Amino acid sequence: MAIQTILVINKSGGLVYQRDFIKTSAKLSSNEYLILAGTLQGVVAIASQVTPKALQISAKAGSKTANEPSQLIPYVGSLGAPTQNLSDMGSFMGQDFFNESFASWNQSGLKHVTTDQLSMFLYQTLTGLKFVAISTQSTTNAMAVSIAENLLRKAYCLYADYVMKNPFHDPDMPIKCELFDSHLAELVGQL
Amino acid sequence: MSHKIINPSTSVPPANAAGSTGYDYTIGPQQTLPNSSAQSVASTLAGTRSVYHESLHPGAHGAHVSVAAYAFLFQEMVSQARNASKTVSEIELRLHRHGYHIGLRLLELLKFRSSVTPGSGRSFFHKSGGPAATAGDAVGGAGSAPSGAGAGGAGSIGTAQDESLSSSITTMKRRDLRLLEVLQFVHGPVWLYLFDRASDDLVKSSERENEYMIIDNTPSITRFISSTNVQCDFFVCGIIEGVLDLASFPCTVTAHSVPEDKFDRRVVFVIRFDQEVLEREALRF
Amino acid sequence: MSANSANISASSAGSKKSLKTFSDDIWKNKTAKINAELFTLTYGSIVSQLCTDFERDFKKVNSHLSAMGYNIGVRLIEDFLARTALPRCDSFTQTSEVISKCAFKIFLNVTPQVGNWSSSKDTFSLFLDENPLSDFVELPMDAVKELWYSNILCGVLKGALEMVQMDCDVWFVSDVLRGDQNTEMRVKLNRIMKEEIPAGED
Repeated sequence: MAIQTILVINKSGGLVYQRDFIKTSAKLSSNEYLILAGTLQGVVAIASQVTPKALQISAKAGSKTANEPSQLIPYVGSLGAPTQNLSDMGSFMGQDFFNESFASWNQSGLKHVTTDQLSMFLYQTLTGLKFVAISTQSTTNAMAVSIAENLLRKAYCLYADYVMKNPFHDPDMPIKCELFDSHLAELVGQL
Repeated sequence: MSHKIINPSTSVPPANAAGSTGYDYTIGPQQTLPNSSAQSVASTLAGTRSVYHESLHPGAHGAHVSVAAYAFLFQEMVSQARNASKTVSEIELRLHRHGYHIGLRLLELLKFRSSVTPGSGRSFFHKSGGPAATAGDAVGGAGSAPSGAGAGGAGSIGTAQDESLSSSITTMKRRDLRLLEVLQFVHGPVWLYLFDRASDDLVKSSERENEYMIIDNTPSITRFISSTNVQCDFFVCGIIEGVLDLASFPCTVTAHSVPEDKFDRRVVFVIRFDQEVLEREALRF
Repeated sequence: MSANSANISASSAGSKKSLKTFSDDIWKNKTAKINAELFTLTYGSIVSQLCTDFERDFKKVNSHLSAMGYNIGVRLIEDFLARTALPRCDSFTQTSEVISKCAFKIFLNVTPQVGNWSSSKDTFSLFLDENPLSDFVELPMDAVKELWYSNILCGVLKGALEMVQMDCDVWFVSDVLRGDQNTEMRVKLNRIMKEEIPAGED
């Protein structure tokens, strides 16, 4: 699974980060990315509203039907763990940022979208922040979803370290932190 | 704390003060107020009486907090400095000042702690019982003594717990007098204390006689801050300068980002000693 | 600090760990650490600088510390959530447990006692037996009645809770530095900002 793009959307639906990892001919303009971010924000909300009535439809579209808070995302080991450089785990420690399965905060909202060419995965935090990964592979299988969730939670960990702990970053503003860039690139590169 | 106001400290139980002899540097300043008011003030401050007592002990050092907690505090300190400043150098100056205050405290503290004979006097130091736990009964006298020697034992500081640290110090470590010694002190013990490791290198400048460099390949406290035109390591410069200044090696310290090979965060702290330091250095021996 | 549940069904695959075990494990194995004294000294330097800047107007210092804490809290919550992935709390009682056993533990390695609940269960106290912010501190006499030395913690809690849609007031009622018997913080839940809970949660 190759990651083409990673986006970060703030809690009000504004695009604060966008980065391509594969050079593609069909690149969206920055304006189009902004629209994409806003659209996703809206679609997540709508998906969560239609859930009770349209369980089947939403399940087909990939959004998980919640009501099962115990639903866990399995930990996928050795995914993008910076094993070659353990000292560079930031404020984290050990082999990896986390090593246990975890619950998804996004239970009834949109979680992924698939076309014949690509899939898009969405990870939403309790604070309303959204991490989006666009993969070049069309897939809906459970393994791919777990990998994406793990990857995006790790991106969230990097965000906590290199964005939140940077005094020169203003909350809710576009992220311009080269350390976040480089660590994210490293993470994606290890997939 | 503030330079201007020096308040009489009241860190000693009032009842015992009469019986004590002279100033014990491991206990701290003694009650100096008249007895009438002393009682009330002392009772307000009772919880803090063991501050000197316990914090000087080498065993006091060893607790940890998370790097994240520190990073957030540091981040906010930089933000504050940034909001209050108009220029980049003003931000750096403010960070430097924060560090300087810490440096001043470190020199004596670290020298003192390394003077205490290892293992001795450890009995009085109860991590679990910390200052907070003893707050309540401290008014009576020997507060931290669990034996209850407190209220009744006026004048006797005899319990093992209350024995002053001075008895476990045979020779007080001198502060360093030679330039290289004091630099080694910063490179080694100070760095070890601050960052749990010695700095990566200590070198003398080949160009200038009064210039030395301490090198940190992976600076800990600024590691989350993407490089900007503001050099946040000026905080550490302040610490170094504070230590050296108090040791009577006046100097100016600046930080420079000098990436090298795989260390793209590498920072070089350049220490420029005042001319008088070199002259003094040349005089002796 | 916010998330979770006592039946911490989450975060521990299959095995139902207690919140304490879970937090201890994160602190021990997943969290990089730094000398607590550097932390104490740095905070001390900040407070003393503020006292000078505000010409020893301690009321201003208190509110400034709280504001600084708020700025930290709104950022720190992201770290906390990324690190723990705890689910949203079902009740304020759970929130109190998460704050004391998990948040304080993994950031400061202390576990304050929760107690003194109001009858309506919307206000509780945190008793800090140990406080890494105030080790070595002795308040000067002019500050002893007015300064809440660790007031930054109030702001941190307020900021962090607000980001998970809980509008709270947090304040100190006593501090051993001021000669009190214990150090007590009050946390009062005003309301849950339902309208701001991100879509997708139930």
